[in-house]
Amino acid sequence: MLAACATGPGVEGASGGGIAPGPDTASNGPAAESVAANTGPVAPYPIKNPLTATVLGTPDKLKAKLPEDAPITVRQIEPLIARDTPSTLRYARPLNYMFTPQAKPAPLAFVIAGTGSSALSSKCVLLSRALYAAGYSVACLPSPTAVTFMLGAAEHPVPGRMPTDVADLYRLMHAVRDDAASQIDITGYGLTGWSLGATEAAFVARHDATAADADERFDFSRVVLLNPAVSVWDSVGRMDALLDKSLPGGITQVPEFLAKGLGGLKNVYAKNESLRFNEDFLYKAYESGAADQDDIGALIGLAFRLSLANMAFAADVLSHSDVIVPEDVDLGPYDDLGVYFQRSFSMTFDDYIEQLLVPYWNRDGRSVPKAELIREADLHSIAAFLAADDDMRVFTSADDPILGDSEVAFLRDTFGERARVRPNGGHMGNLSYQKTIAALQDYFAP
Amino acid sequence: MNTRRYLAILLISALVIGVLGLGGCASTPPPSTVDPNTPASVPADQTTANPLAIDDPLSPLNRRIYRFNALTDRYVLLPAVHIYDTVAPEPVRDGIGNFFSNLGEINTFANSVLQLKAKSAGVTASRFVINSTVGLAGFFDPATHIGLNQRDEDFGQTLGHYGAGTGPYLVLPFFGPSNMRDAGGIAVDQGLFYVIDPLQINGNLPASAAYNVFFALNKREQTNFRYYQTGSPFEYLLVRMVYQNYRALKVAQ
Repeated sequence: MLAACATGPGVEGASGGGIAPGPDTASNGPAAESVAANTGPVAPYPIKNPLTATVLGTPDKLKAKLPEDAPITVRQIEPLIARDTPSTLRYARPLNYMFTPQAKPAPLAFVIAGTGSSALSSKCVLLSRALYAAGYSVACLPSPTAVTFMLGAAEHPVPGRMPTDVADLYRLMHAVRDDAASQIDITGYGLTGWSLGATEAAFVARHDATAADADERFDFSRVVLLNPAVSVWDSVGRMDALLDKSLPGGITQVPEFLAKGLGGLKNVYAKNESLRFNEDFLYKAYESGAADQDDIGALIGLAFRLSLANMAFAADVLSHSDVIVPEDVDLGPYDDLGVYFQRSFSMTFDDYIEQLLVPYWNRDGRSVPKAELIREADLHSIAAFLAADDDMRVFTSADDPILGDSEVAFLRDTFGERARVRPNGGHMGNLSYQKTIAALQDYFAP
Repeated sequence: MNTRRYLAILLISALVIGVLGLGGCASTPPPSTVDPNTPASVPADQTTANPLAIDDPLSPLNRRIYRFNALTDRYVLLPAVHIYDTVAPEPVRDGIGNFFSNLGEINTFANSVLQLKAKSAGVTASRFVINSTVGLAGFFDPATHIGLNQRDEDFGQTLGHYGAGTGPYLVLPFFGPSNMRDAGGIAVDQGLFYVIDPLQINGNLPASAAYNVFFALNKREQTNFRYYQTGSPFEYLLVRMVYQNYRALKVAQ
């Protein structure tokens, strides 16, 4: 669980965001090294196992060194959707984005967060620093799967239908641009996103290119998709399968799994009196053999499940779907959520589709077949656009566990020279690696 | 002054007795994270092995304090830390951090001794002597540079070391997540610090106030946690789980 906290898409560790992002989020190196310093000879990304890479990320000494003086702030905007806030979700009320302004006229880069992540995610901090160093003002936006987005920006509060999620994102981007324009002089636009946010970025770029009102277009001059899902529902299906395989007892096995993990940590910890909890600790725990492959797989699966649990609970409450919280239960702000947590956490992605997404899109006069919902959230459906858009790049790893081999091949074929596919790195394990960040900055350089 | 010290010692003794009393069945140490409602038929190793079973009978109150802390953090502490970050340059803040960290060695030393951890006590004492002298009253940390890594022991861990259970989960105003045992531990550690009075500030109201303000600013600045940053409706449950298990690991160290 602790490892998942540090890197998974679920609980964001402790760092980043807020008023004073911690120095450990993106780099522990000396402040204000130039971008050029990142491009010297660098050891290759060291972790060959994709699941391990996904959990452990990049060792400190191979992380990109980024300026720590980037003026990262968090700005609030008015909700874009008029909706009563259920008191159990009121913590998520302010609609935030992470804003890093340049003092001089500069292009604005939008970053779309990955599954379940808010705009305060540590990856927002990392990418804001990287793109700020490359000369951009940066606005990092919450994922449509984040509770705060569902509450304040989603027309339909059951995320997962790509066209409506993208329309919501597009509306949010305009609101953010209007808000940011009072602070900065914007000379153009870039766009990126990671994981699900990368898939969404591709659809946003297409939405923009085909927008009816030319004045409303951003005309992104640079778009980078970082470890996108190709077929969103195939990818989440892989996460379900990973958890099934690595935790055969399913969710009921979680207490036992955590106990075993904690027992392993306890051994590592007891042998090293001066050891403290940080990323090095995770490496030490891993090296000491406290975790085997199945454990790592289970951690990733559980981290995704936690994101899903958050989203499913909020979707159920907001749409009165009567799947997790009974219709006649009105949860107060201080009510114990234990039973609802268990119910949400035991949902698979497949359950979410069957019990929440599909029913929502087939009630109150709406009628969208399941097959269409699945097809809409697949990059194959916009392959022609992706193949033709010279301003778009994709960065991924051949061993990314959310992708199948045919999907990696699809990205290679569709993007051709514009695909940067590394052999190792897992799912964003190499995101903060020097060469990844340098490639991103090189491409974004105005 | 003597009367006040006497009172402080009395208070500490009461707390120690109270806390030890809570973990009364010390001969069979209760697992740190087990719900007392667990049926007796469940094998002991399985009960100790359930990190999710956390005793939280005060949940309604705890949740209110959690929210109080989140609001205090947002409207008072973080803005104050922001000013602190703006006014004091990083080397100054690092120095202040080292200063408080050095004072913290007193409690770590005392608790290392109480747990009969000779090496930890030795390293901590050496660190304190070196950093207080060569490190200019603790503003610098040369001890770490010569390989004396900092230890971290407190009275909550000492109680845990001797088998005291955590008691129910607690959220303390301002201090955040805790439990009955650790809350008592905080009181004892603070009491010890008060009794020793290393800065000789007892009775000096402005000095005590300045100490406490900087202590709080430094503590908050060094804590990376942001309320509601997980974005999860279940954050209270997650923090509770992480805190209790983290403390269990520290006790085992």
